[in-house]
Amino acid sequence: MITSMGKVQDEIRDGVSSSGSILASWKAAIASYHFWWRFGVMDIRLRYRRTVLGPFWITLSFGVSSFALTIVFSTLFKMSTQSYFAYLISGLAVWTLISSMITEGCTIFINQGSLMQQYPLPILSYALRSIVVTFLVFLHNLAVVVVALLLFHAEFGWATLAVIPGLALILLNGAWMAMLFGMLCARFRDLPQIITTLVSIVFFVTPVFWYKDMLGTRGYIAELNPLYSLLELVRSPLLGTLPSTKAIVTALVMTIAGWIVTFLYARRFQAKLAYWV
Amino acid sequence: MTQVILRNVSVTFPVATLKAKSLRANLLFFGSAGALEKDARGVVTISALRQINFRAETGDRIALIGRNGSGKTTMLKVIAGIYPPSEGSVFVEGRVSPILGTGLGVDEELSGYEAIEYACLLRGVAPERIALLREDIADFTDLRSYLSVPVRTYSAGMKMRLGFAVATADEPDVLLIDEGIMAGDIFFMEKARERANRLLTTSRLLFLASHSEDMVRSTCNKAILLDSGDIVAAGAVDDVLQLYHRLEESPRTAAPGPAGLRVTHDNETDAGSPGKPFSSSNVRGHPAEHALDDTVRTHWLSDPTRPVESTAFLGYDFGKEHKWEILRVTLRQWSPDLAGSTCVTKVALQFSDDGFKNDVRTADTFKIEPTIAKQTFSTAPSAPARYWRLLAKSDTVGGREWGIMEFEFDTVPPENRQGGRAIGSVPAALNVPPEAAFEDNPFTHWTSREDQEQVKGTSWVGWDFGPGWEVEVRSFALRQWDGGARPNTIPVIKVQSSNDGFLEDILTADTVALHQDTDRHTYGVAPSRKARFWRILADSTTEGGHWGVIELRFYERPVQDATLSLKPSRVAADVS
Repeated sequence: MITSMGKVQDEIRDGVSSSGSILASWKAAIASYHFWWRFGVMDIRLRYRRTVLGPFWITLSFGVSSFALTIVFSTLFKMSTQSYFAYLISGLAVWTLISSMITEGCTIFINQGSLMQQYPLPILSYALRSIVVTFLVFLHNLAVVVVALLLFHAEFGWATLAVIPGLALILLNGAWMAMLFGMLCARFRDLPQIITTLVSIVFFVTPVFWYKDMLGTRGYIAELNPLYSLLELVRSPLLGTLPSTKAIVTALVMTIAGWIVTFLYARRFQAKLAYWV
Repeated sequence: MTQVILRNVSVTFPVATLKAKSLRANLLFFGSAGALEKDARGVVTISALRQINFRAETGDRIALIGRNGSGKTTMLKVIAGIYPPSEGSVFVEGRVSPILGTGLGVDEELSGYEAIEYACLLRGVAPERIALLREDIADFTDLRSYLSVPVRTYSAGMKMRLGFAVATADEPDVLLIDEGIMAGDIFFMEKARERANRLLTTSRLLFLASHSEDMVRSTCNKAILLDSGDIVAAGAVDDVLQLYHRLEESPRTAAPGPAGLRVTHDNETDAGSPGKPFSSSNVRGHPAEHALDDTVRTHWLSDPTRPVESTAFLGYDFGKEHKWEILRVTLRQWSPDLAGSTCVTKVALQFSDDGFKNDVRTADTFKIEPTIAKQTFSTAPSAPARYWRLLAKSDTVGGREWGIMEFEFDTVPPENRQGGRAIGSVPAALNVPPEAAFEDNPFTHWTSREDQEQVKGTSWVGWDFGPGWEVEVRSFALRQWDGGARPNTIPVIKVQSSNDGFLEDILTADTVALHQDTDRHTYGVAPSRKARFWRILADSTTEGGHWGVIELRFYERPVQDATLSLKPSRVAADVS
């Protein structure tokens, strides 16, 4: 197997691994892309096997529900349906990506426990598999977004290209969140519920349905929310503007800090994960 | 070369209860500064493997045997890299392929062909290879016509075949099979056996956790016997299986108590005892590179290039004012390949109170099986003493070097905690296999070596009630093998007590004429004294042939009461 090919497993004392062994295991995880990429694709395919539309059910249901929401909220907010639709659908697609990376990350190790008991795949690769699944769902949603933007809000330009690094940053953040929350949730079985609840609360205080300007003097509510920065990284370029410097800096800091925390936690507890699931 | 080395591997399992897995309990724990540690956190840790050391290499086909829960599956998972050891290290050279479950690990909605592909990916087979292997796997499964329908429609046997085909397709170097889960059928399929044989003969390494003796004998060339996470024996299949049967008869052992003492190093003991190891001048710690690993020292009872001398010994001084009685000795011989390596066939366990100057007493002698790397010996009753040693006897044949990796004195054998243990003259009192007894009671003690041999000298069986116990036996129930059916069973026996294991202190309480016509009878014993050891003895003056004791119970009550009820009193004991 990938993990044990002529390698000495590091001496482990008290379940604490060395930094080197964690990095090696993470490297092996990335190298095992045959596993996480193919299995991620398989997950999506199987979810819609024996349906007529297949994975395009994702696209369809997302498009329809966004449209319904647009009708309601554009009326409530008394705004132009066309520009609101473009704003809402792009925001909703990106938010779904971020939130499901977190919530699905919570259950990866719990759900894949039986697999982990049978095969010595590197731990991180399970997290990557879940990221692949959420990302593929996002790509299906993105198709609706692109169509909607072309129809109602065609402001594509050079700034649009910023979508790519933006997405990369979101995925990088999603990966550590899935890994960290996954490990924590395998240990503390209340956490998945707590995190899911928190994410849905954060959803309402994040400018997805509404505009940040609507907060008036209370704009800090959005500014303090790090997930808002992640959202902006991709939504702004989709709508034709570059993300703010603040959003970029926040996202970068989050990425680095998040991976450091995940690394420290993994060094202490990754070796014990197999015993928790 | 393919090899697997485990060094000092321990696995402790945190069995998180529902309580421990919840966050509330942990918050409670932090808030209460540890006071509620046991209750609120409720984490129970289980030692699944304890200080495992071994090396296996190309060509070894190793059976892991042991009772349920002895650590077989855990060991496989550690070798597979699924469980990182809590302590120690694992070195694996070669590609490992584990078969630890019936499931393929892929969604059963997939068709057979797809399942093959994905299951290969799980095993780290490169996609290019999969294309090459797919046809081979399909042929092997014999499921051609089914391979295009979803796996969920397969029977358990079909899934198993598919799993085995995938696991062995890429000719892994190390194959790990948990027979408990695989249901064992795979090896009885003609094709699987062919393939297994091919895999095995092309110099690979196999670990097979199994309960099936047939399978172990036909497949493996070495065996490791695990009990409570410890390697109890390792070596040739037949010998280890024999030990396994003996283990099966004995009650399940609890974890060794703190009284266990492990001598692994010149300056290091586990027990925190004030004592220290000592040895004869020709014993030396051998350089680390010759041992399995660098943490456990090897003590050579000889210069590695010269024969074992009669005076070579390795022992332990428990310190002033400390007197211990050794009831069990665990010995691990130096052996690079689990095969046992000894030229020493016999060792003596001796004790002394003056450092073996004038006072040298032999507690027991052990026969060292040349094919067993690690073995536990129960010692004959002796007495507490300050110095204990293991002596390589001078009548040793062979004359090559001999090393001890580890030996452990244990003062609390498991039997002891349950109110005593059976004792008998060694080797005259022998356990005889169950089939030799005329009933299904497996506990026959022969006071002669075989049922053809005459009773000689002081053949006896008895009971050690344990340190701190003193009992006055007033009656005993005896069931003889084939009692009454033959004319030449023992006519007269002696009932004796002792406080030093019948070394010097021997008091005959009574002489009893045995009933010749009943196989079970309760006999009275004249009042004598309280003592720790009791035995019945067929002494040399007795005329007669072989004699077997199926059941022996000592009672504190006089015979009149005992005949009313044969239920044992609190200290009554079975020789079993």
